[in-house]
This record gives sequence, C-alpha cells and structure tokens, in this order.
Amino acid sequence: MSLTPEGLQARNESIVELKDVQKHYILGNTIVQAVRGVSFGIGTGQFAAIAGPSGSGKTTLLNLVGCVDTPTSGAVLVDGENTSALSERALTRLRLHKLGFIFQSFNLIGVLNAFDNVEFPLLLQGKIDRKERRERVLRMLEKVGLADHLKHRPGELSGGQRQRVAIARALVTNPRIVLADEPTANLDSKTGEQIIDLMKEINRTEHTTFIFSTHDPKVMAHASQIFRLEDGLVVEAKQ
Amino acid sequence: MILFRIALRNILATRMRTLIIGVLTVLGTALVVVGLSLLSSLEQSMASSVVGSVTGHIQVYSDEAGDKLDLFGPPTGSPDLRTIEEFPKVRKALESHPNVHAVIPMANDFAVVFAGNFLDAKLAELRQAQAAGEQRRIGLLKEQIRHVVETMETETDALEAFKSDSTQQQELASRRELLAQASQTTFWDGFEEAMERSMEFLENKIAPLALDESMIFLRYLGTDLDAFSKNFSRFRIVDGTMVPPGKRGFLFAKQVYERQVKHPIARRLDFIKEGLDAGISLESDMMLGNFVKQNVRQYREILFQLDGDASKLVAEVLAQHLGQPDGELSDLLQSFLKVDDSNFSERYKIFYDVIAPQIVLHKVKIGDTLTIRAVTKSGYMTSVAVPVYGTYELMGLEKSVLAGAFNLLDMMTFRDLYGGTGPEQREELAALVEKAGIVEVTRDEAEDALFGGDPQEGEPEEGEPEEGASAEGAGFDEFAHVDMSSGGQRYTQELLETEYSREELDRGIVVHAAVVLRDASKLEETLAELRSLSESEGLGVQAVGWRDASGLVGQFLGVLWAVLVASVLIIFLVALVIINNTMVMATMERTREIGTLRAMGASRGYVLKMFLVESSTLGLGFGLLGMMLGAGLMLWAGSSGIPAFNSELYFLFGGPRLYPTLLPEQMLIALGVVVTATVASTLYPARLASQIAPVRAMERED
Repeated sequence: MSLTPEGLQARNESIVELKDVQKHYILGNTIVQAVRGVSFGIGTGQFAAIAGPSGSGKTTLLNLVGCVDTPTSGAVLVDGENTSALSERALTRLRLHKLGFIFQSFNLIGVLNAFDNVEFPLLLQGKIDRKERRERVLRMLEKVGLADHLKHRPGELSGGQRQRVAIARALVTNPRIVLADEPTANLDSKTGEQIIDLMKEINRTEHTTFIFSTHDPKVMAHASQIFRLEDGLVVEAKQ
Repeated sequence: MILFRIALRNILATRMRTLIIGVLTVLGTALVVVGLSLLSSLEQSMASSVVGSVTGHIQVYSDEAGDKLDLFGPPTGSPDLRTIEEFPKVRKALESHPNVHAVIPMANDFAVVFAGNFLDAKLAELRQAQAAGEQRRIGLLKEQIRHVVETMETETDALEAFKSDSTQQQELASRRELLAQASQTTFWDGFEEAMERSMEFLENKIAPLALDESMIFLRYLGTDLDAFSKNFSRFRIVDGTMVPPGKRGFLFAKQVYERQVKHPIARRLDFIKEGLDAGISLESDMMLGNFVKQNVRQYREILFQLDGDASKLVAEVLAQHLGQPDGELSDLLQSFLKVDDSNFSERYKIFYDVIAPQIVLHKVKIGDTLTIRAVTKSGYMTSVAVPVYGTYELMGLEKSVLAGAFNLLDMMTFRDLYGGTGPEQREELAALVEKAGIVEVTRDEAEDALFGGDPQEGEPEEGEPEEGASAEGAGFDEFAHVDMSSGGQRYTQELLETEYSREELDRGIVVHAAVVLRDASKLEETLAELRSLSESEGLGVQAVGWRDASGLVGQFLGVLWAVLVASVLIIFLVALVIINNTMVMATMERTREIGTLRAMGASRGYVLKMFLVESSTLGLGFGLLGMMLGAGLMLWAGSSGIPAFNSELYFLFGGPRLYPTLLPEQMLIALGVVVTATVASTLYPARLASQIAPVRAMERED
C-alpha cells in the first residue's frame, strides 16, 4: 500500500482493519496456523474479495472480520472497534447491528417462509414496529426480485432464489458491512453471476461494504479490492 | 411472536420427535389426571366406608395405651389399649365441643364360638325332653339320633380313601369301633335303662365324630347399641329385631351370618350363584369349580342332618329330578351337588325349597342364645351367654368384608367377656361358692369363677346390688357341655331381661369411643382441639383421625398415594431422559441453523428461550390433550362407575361402584406436572444449543 493521497484516504476511511492478525487452531496434538500475520484495511463502500485456494485461511479471515471469531494475536478493528476487547455479548450486538451475513449454503431457517426469514433480524433488533418491519422486508424482497414469493418456504425455492432471500435478510437491517462466504459456490455460473450482479448493484446504490471470500475468477473480476491468500498469508493485494 | 411460530413450525416439521414426546406427554398427563381423580375419589369413598362403619370421624382411647388403635387390623393377639377411665366425664367433655355430634363408647375383641354340631344340638334337645318328661319327643329324637349314628357308620368306609398314614388309620379304627358300638341294637334297646351313661357316651364319644363341628371366629364390637344405631346412619337391621334399649343382646353382621354361620353347602351354593349372576361360568372359573367339588365331597353335611322322614322326602325329590328312581340317598346327594352351568339355577331352587327346610341352615338362629368364649384380659377363659336378636348391615357396604366384620353386642356383655365384674357376677360367684361342694365345676369354669371376680376391678360397682340379678345362679355347669344352645338360658334368663340404664352402661368397659362430627371438613381442627381439651381437662385420652384409627386400611391409602407419586416420578424421569435425548439430537441437527441465528446477532438467551418455548408449547399442547383424555376417561367412569370386583374393593369404594369425581385443580396439577417435566427435560439441550458458537454457521453443507 502506497502513501498516495488515495491510499491515505482509503486508510482513513477503513471500515475494517487487520493488524498482524494471527489465528491458531489446536487440532488434536497439532497447532494449525490458519492465519499467520495478516495486515490490511478495507475501505467503506468497497466490494472486496478474499481469494485463495481451499485451506488458505480465507474463511478464517472472514470469520474474524465477521466477529464470529477472535484472533489469537493481533487486532481486528470493525468500524473502529477492536473485536478482541469486546465481550461475547458486545460482539453479538455488533453483528446484529453492523453486519450482515450471506452463506455459501444460504442458511435460511427451513421452517420459516421467505418473508419471515427476512424479517427475523429485524425482530432480533427489536424496537421496530410491525408496519415498518413489513415495509422494509417487502422493499428488500422486491429489490432481490422475490416480491411474489413471500409465502414460500426455502424448500420451495431454487438455489438462486434462496440466496436472494439470504441477501435480503443480510441487508434488511441496513448493515455497514455484508460478509459473504463463497456466495456463488453452490450456484450454477449463470445464477452465480446474477447474484454477483445483485450484490454489486446494492453495493453501488446503498454504499454497503461487501467482503466476500471466493475462488471464482468471475466473482473476482467484479471486486474493487482483492486480497489473495496462500498458507495464511496475503500474497497479493490489488486495489 | 416469532419464537412461538418457529417453535410451532419446528414441532410440525419434526414429526417423529413430536410423536415420541407427544405420546409420552399425553399418557403422562392422562395418568396423572386419572391417578389423582381416582385416588381422591377413593379417599372420599373410603372415608365414608371407614367413618360410616365403626370408626366415626375420630376415635379416642386411653393415652396410656401401649399399642396403637387399629380397628381393621389383623386379629393377632390383643393390643394393649387400656380402657377409658371415667367415660361419662370424657363423653361430657367431648360433647361440649361445638363440632362433636356424638360420642359412642366402644370396645372390640374377638372370640371363637364353638358352634356345636348337629348331633350336639339333637342331644341337647333330648336332654331337655328328658327333663320335661316328654316321652313322645324323647322317642322321636332317639330315632333321629340313631339314624344319624347309623349313617355315620355306613359313611365311615368312604373315609378310608382319605386316610393314608398310620395315625389316621388308627383314628379310623377307633372311630369305626365307637360307631359300631353306638349302632348296635342292644345299645338302643337298653338306652332308657342306662340313660345317663348312654347320653354321656353319645355326647362325649360319638358327637365329636360328627363332621360338621366347626368354630366360628367372631370379631365383636361392644358398644352402646342404641347410640350406635342412631349415629351410624348406614346401620340397618336385616333379620330379626334391634336389641331393645338397655338390654343385653347380640347382632350378627349380616355378612358374617351368611358366610360363617350358614351351612357350608348352602354358603357355597350362594357363592356360586353370586358368581354366575356376575357372569362367571362354572366351567371356566377354578374357584367356583372347587366349590362344587367341595360340596360333592362334603355331602354328608346334609346327609347326617336328615332324619328318617326327611331323608325319604329328599331322596324322593332328588330321584325324580335326577331320573334315578332307585338311587341311594348318598349317591343322589352327590350327583345332585355336582352342579354345572346348565342345571344350577334349578338345583339351587330345589336346594332351598326341599333340602334347606330339613337341615339346620344357620348354626345359630335368630333368637338363640349364643355362648361366647373369650380370653379375658387377665388371661382366663370366660363364657358369656347373650341372645341373638338379629343381623345388621351397613347400607352401601353390604358386601364389604372389612366393614361387615364387626358383630355388635352390648357393653354389659362385653364387660363380662373382657373380664370386668359387675354386681351380677359377684352374686354368681357367691352362688357358686355356696354350691361349690355339690356342683361339678370344670377346670375352665373354676378359674373363671375363682379369678374372674377380681374385687379390685369391680370397685366402682361395690355396694350397688343389681335388683334383677339372680342370686340362685343355678346351672352354671351346663356351660361346659353346650357352648351354643339354650343350655345357659336358665342362668341368664333374668340377666338377659334386665334393662340397664345409661349410667350403668357407661360403667361398662370402654376401650375406645367413636366421635361423630357435625362438620367432617373440620376434622383436623377438631382433632387438635379435642387433643388439647383432653390435656387441659385431664381426660387421659388420645384422639386419632379415622385414617390412623383404621390402621392398615388407612395406611393402604397412604400406600396408594405413594404408588401414584412414585409412578408419576418414574414417568417424570423416563420423560426427562427420552425428551432430553430427542432434544439433544434435535440440537445437533440444528447446529448450523442455531449458529446462523447466533451469527445474525441472536443472543444466547434468545436461543435458550427458543428451545424452552418449543418444549413448553409441546408440553402444553399435548398436556392439554392428555388432560382431556384423562378427564374424558374419568367423566365416563364417573357416569358409569367402576365396579368393585371383590369385597376389599367394595369397602374401598364405599359401595358396589366407585363414581370418581374430577376436580379442575386436579387437571391443572396434572398439566403443571407434565409441562414442568417437558420444560425441565429441555433445559440441558437448550443450554447446549445456546452454547453453539456462531462460527458453526459457516459449516458447509456437504
């Protein structure tokens, strides 16, 4: 990263910042070093990709950024907060209000229909009245093109439709950051492209920061920032 | 409420799990509802049985008693209960309590009555006839007795088959010898000349050989009969009459009279009829089948009682009925008694129409004087004669063995049996002493006479000679030979006609007393108040509720409660394990979903709540279902009643059928228990779920 004016700007506006982050797992008798000292920043409104082959540590990194895990050493700053210093409760609150998640396997609640799934994070947040909730859910589902699938359960939807519901769910709370873990891996390439287009569209219109892990070159083509990982280290950072 | 929606949908989505938990919950709730309803209804009906039979609501007895009062306990040994001193004072004090309706003095004990056999009775009649010099009757009786003896002799051969070992063979030989002696023509020809010797030979040697000698075990309750009949509303005279107020008298419990005093063959036929009426068939039921076999084997019980004319009549009728015109009476009787399902009702009728009038149907007849032999408190044998006025039953408890176990007699007779002395006895004693030189006194009676009238015990009565008492006291010795007969009549005639005043009755032996309350619901308070009353007034009595007083029977209810609680606990535990396991498995299956919720920002508490809402929804839903099932069962049982299959149940049910009632609080308790169980069994899996890390959301679906 150079000290160009854009670079400085980017660093100042970093919504996510990693400082010499290491993450070790203990698996039986061996220590697995999943992330071995990674430092980078992701600016607000970026469409950032963390790329790399399986086992390179990209999911671990995403988990650290997504506040569902904390580093062994180093610091992860999310919207200015050091996740290592936060309690379990505070981390949960952080996820609830500032983060949205899109999963490779969609992870919708099977027993709830599309509408209920999207509404769920709003219910968790509380303090939003029924009418507003309904409006926001409908607007989101409309945006992802599922306005006429409100009553469908995940089982009754195609993979692409399910991921659209998941995107709506991730975005309904207006998070600062959306984390997507290989969002197109379980989709055919055409649908995958449509999903990427949708995310890109939202990124453009809502200025939501997207951070996704992927090893799909087509996905990476859309990224504004790419961090390539190998063996727990960033081997390439493209702006 | 999204949690409820998730819960409901999860419940619907996982059918198998829901089914397992559902069945468990429904059955559990239904069982608790049924159990609670049955038990509390049982408690109520039992309360009415116990309270209404002899116990009353409260029993009081001496606080110096070494044993506990157990009215329905097994009759083993005599419990040390002492007596209530100064009963009038106790009654007066207790009756001053506003909730006490009546205090009825009581004392219970048991005795064996030797109901002499048929031959004994005939011989006694013969003695009477001799004393009265009725030649015609003497002749008639002599013929009857001779017939019986001859029948006994011919029947002896049949006994051989049953006697196998050497002592029995020896007995049989001596029996044969004696009977041969008694049936010799020379014995009967010379009967009048050697009257006394012949009579003694028959009484002492031959009569004991008759087969129907039996003991009647009697449990009796000495009480103020008048007060008893007035305060126990179920009381009703069945046969005969009530004992006149203040008189000595005995009332058989109808059931005892029908089961123990009745001719054994008639009794068994009654049993069989009862069974058949209840829809049991002779062919399939072992017990009834055995009754038939016993009757066939014991046909002599009838045969011996039939004299010449009677045997001709019976033989004729049976021969006709059985279509065996030349049959011997003994053969006819045996095949007649071999009843089966098809011919029973006809033969039952023939038995009562033709045979019953010719035999002694009840060993003690209403109007007879019963001689009761009992061991007194001082340990000697005493015999007391008392007239049998009738039989009684407790309405609604007619078939209950326990409630119908007590025969009733007056306090005075009880006192005599107990060993207390009244003025009559002292006078008898005096008379006895006077006649000691000329009257033959048996060992038993000697002890009775010498030690019975313990002057210390009789202190309060001193100096109050009974006007009606007989100073003659003649015929004392007749007791020895005739236990049950009119033999004691001469001696007791005047005694039996004496009318005792309340005051005198109160001075009888009062061991315990039943307290009948006005308001039974205040039992516990009243009990406590009576206890403190006894203490403050120095009454020297302790008070116990009917449950304690009825001993084992009362404890039975406690056992039933314990069984219910235990089975509820077991269900609780089983439910806990099964529901816990299924829910833990459900948690495992939902790890990714829960992880997702956590990643999305659901707190641990939220996940915990989610599981608890799910299990309580399950518990409540199926609990309600089970509650309705149980309530439905009980309502059905409540309208049609649960029949009492045997006499013990009859007592417990307080009648022929138990009509259980169901209270709303019982249903709520059941629901509460089951919901608690379901929720409790989800606590662990819910906690497990709440500890699932949000990282688990990232797990891939493979």
